[in-house]
Amino acid sequence: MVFSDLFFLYVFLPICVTCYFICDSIAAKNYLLILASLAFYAWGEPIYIVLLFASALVNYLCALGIDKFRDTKKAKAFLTSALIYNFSALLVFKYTGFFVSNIKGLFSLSVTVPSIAMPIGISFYTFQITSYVIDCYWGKVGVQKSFSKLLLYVSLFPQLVAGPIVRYSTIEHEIDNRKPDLKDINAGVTRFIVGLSKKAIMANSLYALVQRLIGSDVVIKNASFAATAVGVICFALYVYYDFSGYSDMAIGMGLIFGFHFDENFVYPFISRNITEFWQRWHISLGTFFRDYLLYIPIFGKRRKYAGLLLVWFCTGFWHGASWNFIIWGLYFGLFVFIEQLIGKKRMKKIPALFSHLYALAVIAAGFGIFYFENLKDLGNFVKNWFFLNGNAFITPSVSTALNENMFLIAAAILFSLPLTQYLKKFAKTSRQAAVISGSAVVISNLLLLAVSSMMLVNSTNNPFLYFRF
Amino acid sequence: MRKSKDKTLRFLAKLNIAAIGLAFLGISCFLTFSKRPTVSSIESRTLEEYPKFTFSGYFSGEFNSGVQTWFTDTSPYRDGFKGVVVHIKGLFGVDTSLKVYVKDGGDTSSEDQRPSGEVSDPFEDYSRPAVQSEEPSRPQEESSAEQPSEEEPSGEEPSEEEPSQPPLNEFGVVDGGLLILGDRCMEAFGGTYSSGQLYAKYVSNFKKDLGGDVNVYSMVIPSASSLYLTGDYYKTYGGEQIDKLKYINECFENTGVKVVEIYDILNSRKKEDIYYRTEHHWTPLGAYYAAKQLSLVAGTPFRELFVPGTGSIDEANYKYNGKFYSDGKPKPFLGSFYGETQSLVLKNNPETFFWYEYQGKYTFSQYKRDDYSKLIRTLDTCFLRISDDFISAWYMTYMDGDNYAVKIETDTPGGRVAVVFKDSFGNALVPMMLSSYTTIYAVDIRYFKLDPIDFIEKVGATDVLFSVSSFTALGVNYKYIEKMRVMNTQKFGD
Repeated sequence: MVFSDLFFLYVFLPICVTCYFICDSIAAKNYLLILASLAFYAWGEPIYIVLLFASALVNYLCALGIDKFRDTKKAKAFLTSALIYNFSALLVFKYTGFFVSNIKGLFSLSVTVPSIAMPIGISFYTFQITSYVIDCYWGKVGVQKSFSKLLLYVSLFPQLVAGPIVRYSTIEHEIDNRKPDLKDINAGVTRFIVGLSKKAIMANSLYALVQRLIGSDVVIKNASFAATAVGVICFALYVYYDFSGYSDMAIGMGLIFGFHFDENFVYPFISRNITEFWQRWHISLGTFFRDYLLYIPIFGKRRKYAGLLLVWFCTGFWHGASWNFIIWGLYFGLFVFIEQLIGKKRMKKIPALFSHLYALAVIAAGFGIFYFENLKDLGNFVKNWFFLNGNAFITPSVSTALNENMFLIAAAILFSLPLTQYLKKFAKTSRQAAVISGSAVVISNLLLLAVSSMMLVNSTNNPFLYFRF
Repeated sequence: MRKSKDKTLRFLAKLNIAAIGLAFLGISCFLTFSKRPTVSSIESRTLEEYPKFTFSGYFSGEFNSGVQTWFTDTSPYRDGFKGVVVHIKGLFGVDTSLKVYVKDGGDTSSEDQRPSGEVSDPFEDYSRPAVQSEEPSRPQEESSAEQPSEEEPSGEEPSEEEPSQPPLNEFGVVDGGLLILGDRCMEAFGGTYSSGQLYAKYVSNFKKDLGGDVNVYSMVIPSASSLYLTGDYYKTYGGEQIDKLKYINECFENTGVKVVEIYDILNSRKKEDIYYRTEHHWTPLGAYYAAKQLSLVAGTPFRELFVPGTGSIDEANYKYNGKFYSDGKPKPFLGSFYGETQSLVLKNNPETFFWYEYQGKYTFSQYKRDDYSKLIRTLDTCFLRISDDFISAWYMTYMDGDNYAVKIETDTPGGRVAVVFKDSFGNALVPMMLSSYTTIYAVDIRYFKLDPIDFIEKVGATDVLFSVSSFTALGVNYKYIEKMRVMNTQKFGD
């Protein structure tokens, strides 16, 4: 099930929220959330719920073992076992096809590439449970003695299938002690509607435009320079609205249920360099790699740069079992590496205009690599930038597409900037301003909900991009 | 002051939660308990059905996914909401007089030249089967001969694809490129001279086989872009269609095939409703002018549509009919182009769907579409009542689309018998030919499986008309004409 599906929005969610607030005790609320989360997961993947359950159980037992044998070799063995289990499951279900097809191609073997359906959200919940077991080992969090509560953490449906990757430490306290207040619920409702409209209005419309401009192998081969450039910018905006929309909905639902998840996107397109971009984009993934992978002592004296290489390789590979994702990760890693060589102080001295343009150009080109999984299409994409395919600068069909969507593109760029900060500041200036802005929020929420719902009626199937990761 | 502000903020927070909560409740009830549609008139399709429960379907996730799809696909008032979304999307940008939609990223058809000699014929090594033979004659030296199977239409059931939208093929035909100029949508044209030469050759082969006793006519129906695109627009998207139509006529010289040239007459009438604006076919009015031209070439009787000098319909000959409400107002027609483009300008300018009922007596018999072996039904009209729900399929009103081979017996004296080989454009034409022929057989070239020469002879045809769109004659579907002649072995009546 996806959040932007009418069935989720108007059947599953209302039932779940109503029952949640009917439940009196926190224990009942927790059991209800576990039940709802398992039902949510089992809706699309009835079989793979076993895998989710097993992952929670293995890590629960290993954490108990770590706790019992703390500071002994046995604790390390339990940690190792948990990590082997977690990453084996990820390797088998996500990467088997990739490895087999590459080995097959490399050695010209006549083996059949296995077609294994990837369990939804496996990349997210594997990383979540991994962070839990490592944090238990490091003593950063207390070991959860109740399996049901750990299962609640792993399976909590708002963030189960497409993030953000919530650390156990973030909600450890709230599992047993939370009482959503009016402020949280209000903020959660607005955040949810904003996320929904990001997906239903912006992301889906941008994606339709991307399809028109650079959509398929034939299209990218014939695409003009303008189509290529605008297409890839729109794709970057699409991914932002799609993924940050999902995160907003997750954070919003979390607030309604009394959980406070960390932010996952903080206006990434205002970044002045690539290092900053990754501090603003998919923050939960970046911090995961920073905390658990970057400084692991496996590379000796050269650990800084080797760690960097590993982190960016993994960042790319996490996104998908395809070479273009690996190239994409290393591409960004290269720029982060160059920026580290230049140094923070020197980077800051670059005039703002140039540094923004630099960052945006690198980001946009990077999303081209992200978009084209087929390397031949990626080659045509690169050629189009330099007019090497002999295509025009702009064609009438591209003009039509741009004319028909110019306000959409402008709005997409505008709303990716921190405009709401000004609204929040304005609301604090006086009682009258608070009334005006508060009323505007109510009206715009209703309007956005209505428009989003109609847009969803118009699109029968529109999964979130990050569902496949 | 601060207390008062907090109180206001608390009130607004409660208002927000209550408003959104009620909105969710209302929409939930609306989506769950309102009557769910079963068809979409905009998309002309039956909507998803509630899936049947099976354990295997449940465990594979198909059942649940089916429920979700059904829930969204059959949202109450979905077509109404879709219409609103078209208006919302209209706010995403600005309107321009010319809008170009192409699927493959290329905006113009490849340059094309008149061939200097005979073009390669994929059926060259095929000849018509001998009278007693069950199989068509095959090339003598298969290893050296060009294999027609690579280019010819397959012998399998032809696809439902409309011939006016040829796929991107070896000739570089533009695939589904659409233009909206003002409030009219048209297809960009990408046919080729080579196709035109082969079309003429294949039709001429019928004349050769049939000899002098049977008149063979070719009527290539131009597409709207040849009439309504001018200047640079025509240069870029017209694909030199007018010149290619002339070239076909030149190819028919000295072949015995009579050309029914209709471009000029249609061009002179283009301010009238001779082509739909939201649909890729022509209208019965365009077909009327073409049928009149045919009667002049063929020397057949013909009943005029209009009272001479008045412009009003001669009701003794034809009755104006169409999709109307009970108060006589036309039901808005948005054809196939609207379904494809979802264009606001088309939505805001729907057209009237109409036809002319011939007032003479006739019977309209529908047979299995490929061979006349099974009579399906006989009616007293050529115009079928297509459901109002399937708006973009209303063109099928004319002769029930391409679904049947038809035989029409009229009260027209003279005993002339016509066999019409057509594509979907012919469906509007044949009902306008009833005052010219005593008997008309009309078949779609893509589906017919009988030996056409044998069929023409057995039904005693005096006239054979090839009436196809320029997309067929200059695109790819013209190959069905030769395929029928050299590969169809089944005899009429067997």
